[in-house]
Amino acid sequence: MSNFEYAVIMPKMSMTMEEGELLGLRVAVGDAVKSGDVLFDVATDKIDMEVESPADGVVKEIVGQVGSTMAVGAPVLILLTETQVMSFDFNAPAPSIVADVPVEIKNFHSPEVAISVAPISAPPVLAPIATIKAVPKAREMAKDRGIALSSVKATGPFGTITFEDISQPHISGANDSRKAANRKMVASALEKTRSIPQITLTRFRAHASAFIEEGSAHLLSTWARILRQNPHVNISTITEKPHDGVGIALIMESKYGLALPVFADPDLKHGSELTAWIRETREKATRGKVPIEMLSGATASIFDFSHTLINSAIPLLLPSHTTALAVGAPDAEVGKSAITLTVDLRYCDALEAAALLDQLINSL
Amino acid sequence: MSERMLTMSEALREAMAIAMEERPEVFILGEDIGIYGGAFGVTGDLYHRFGSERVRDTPISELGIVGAAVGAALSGMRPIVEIQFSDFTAQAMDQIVNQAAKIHFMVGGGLHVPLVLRAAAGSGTGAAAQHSQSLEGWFANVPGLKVVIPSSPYEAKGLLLSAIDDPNPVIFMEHKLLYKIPGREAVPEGAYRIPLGVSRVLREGQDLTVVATGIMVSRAMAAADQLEKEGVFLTVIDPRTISPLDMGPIYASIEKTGRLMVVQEAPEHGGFLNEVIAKVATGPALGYLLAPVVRLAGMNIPIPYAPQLEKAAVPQVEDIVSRAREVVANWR
Repeated sequence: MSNFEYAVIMPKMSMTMEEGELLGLRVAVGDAVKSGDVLFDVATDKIDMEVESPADGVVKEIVGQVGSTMAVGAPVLILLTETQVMSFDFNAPAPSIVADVPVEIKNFHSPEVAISVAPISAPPVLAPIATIKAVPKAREMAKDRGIALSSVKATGPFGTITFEDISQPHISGANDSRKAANRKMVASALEKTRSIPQITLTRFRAHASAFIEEGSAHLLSTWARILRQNPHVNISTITEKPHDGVGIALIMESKYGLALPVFADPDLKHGSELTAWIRETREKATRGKVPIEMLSGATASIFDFSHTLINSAIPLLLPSHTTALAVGAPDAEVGKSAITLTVDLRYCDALEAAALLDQLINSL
Repeated sequence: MSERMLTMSEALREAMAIAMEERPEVFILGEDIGIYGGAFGVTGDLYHRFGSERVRDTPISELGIVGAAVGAALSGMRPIVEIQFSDFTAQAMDQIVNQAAKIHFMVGGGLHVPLVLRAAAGSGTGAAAQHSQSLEGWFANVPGLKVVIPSSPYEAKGLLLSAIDDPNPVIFMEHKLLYKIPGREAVPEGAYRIPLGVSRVLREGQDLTVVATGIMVSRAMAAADQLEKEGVFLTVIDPRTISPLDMGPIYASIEKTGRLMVVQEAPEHGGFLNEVIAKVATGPALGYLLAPVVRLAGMNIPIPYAPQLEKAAVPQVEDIVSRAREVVANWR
């Protein structure tokens, strides 16, 4: 499935706002909209405001009544969209309107786990570019981080915003807050798995791949093959049922912080095909677009540090996952890299985990 | 083993001698290049070594010299033309622009014009307005010509050998002040070739990328030495050939420094290095700029005769130092 239903809600536009009046709609069912297009107008006790689309998509359904007063958080319309969300919201209950829509995600087992989007702050209102002077590098940075140039004090010659001006620590952009929201979401998810009994084991091995995607692909497919042979660790810890296929989340950097795209059945793909898939997903993540069908269905995660300076890391279990792997960069002296495996001890005992790690390293 | 420090005249002479020994079809023609040894002494003793057939003194007619060379090149020779002062190429412009540069294309690639035109360029010798210009921009604007500007004896030898090998007409602009000065770099014996169209990064510093041609390369290097003591670090890039122009190292450097200065002796208005700025403005490096681009070029005036004014009309080391210091301090 390539589309995702997203409820655009009555936004909270001030600290005190509890409800708002839907003044008018700018779109109709079936309209294609771009991120930033105005969807509807809202009036509060303080201000009238336009609400913009958080993503590209198509208007699927209009829920709100024009002229009615709606509570903050109530859905106004449903957008069919490619998501821009980077990771699960493990915590949030599904908005009721979305829950009514049949969920067609493969390997999506847990009724407790629902997909929803990260809070998206309203894009900053940018002043016309011609009225603000800024060096090109400052403009690029403003764009990347969603900083309104009008909010930056210019200290350069001719009243120009310099790179130093925009690099001041107190300046934050819309994307920074999105990153923060994403980080919070991941952190709260990990908080839940902290109490799970687990063990972490490390072994060293000679490791070298010219490109990170090649190395990641090799790991993904090898680990997937092992999980397939060991159904008791290829299991959702929430439903306690083994998965039909194997899904592994590969942790990567995205525009909005860490992304956890899930690669389904990577062991059934050719190496080069899988490498290309990883590369393509990484590029999408950089642009802030991870396909929604890649956000669920994993029983394991891999954190690949092999192309950094980090030699080893302790991987943490993600909710509903049974195993987590981290791969370090080769040590400068020994020339070997650490592979570290964390397992949920409720499903796999320590010696068995050691055997799985041995099997992985012997198969690589 | 002692490192040979040659002047640019000596290095150029060596390149021509090597080419004439390698290929019987190479010969030199120009005014006073034979018995006299050249207006700036570049051909020197070549007349005595290779004879009057291969080192040919010509009448005072630039149009005739280049015309004869184009004809010789079309019939399988590899002529090297020496023009005493590059200003006199104006006399030969029809042969250079309408004949040499075009013939290969107008006969569907069936003919080549492997011609090298060496010319003494630039100011600083008290030769006044008609003998001091930097006209490389004229030729860079003519498709079909390659334009080379050596900045040192080492560069001059390697680039001239490549220019002689090249099947296209190559304009080779030699700054007069460089003829008598030994370079910073040793010149290897024997043949070596520096490919045309490859920029050279002479030093790397984090604060400012300086793109300079010809004599301005050594001035930029001297400025960089001076600024280094103040904690301002320059990258100096010599494009070596302005047609074709290798922008890759320039883009890569701007990515690291965020600031660009171009330095040329030719007048600023319509000058060739404006092309470098245009490519930066329209290319992949724009987003890395921390500061407006600095242009240091000759004044938009004919070169004056009075020595103080002649010096003031074109960029000097101290100009590069002060403008570099300024742009780095003001744009962080």
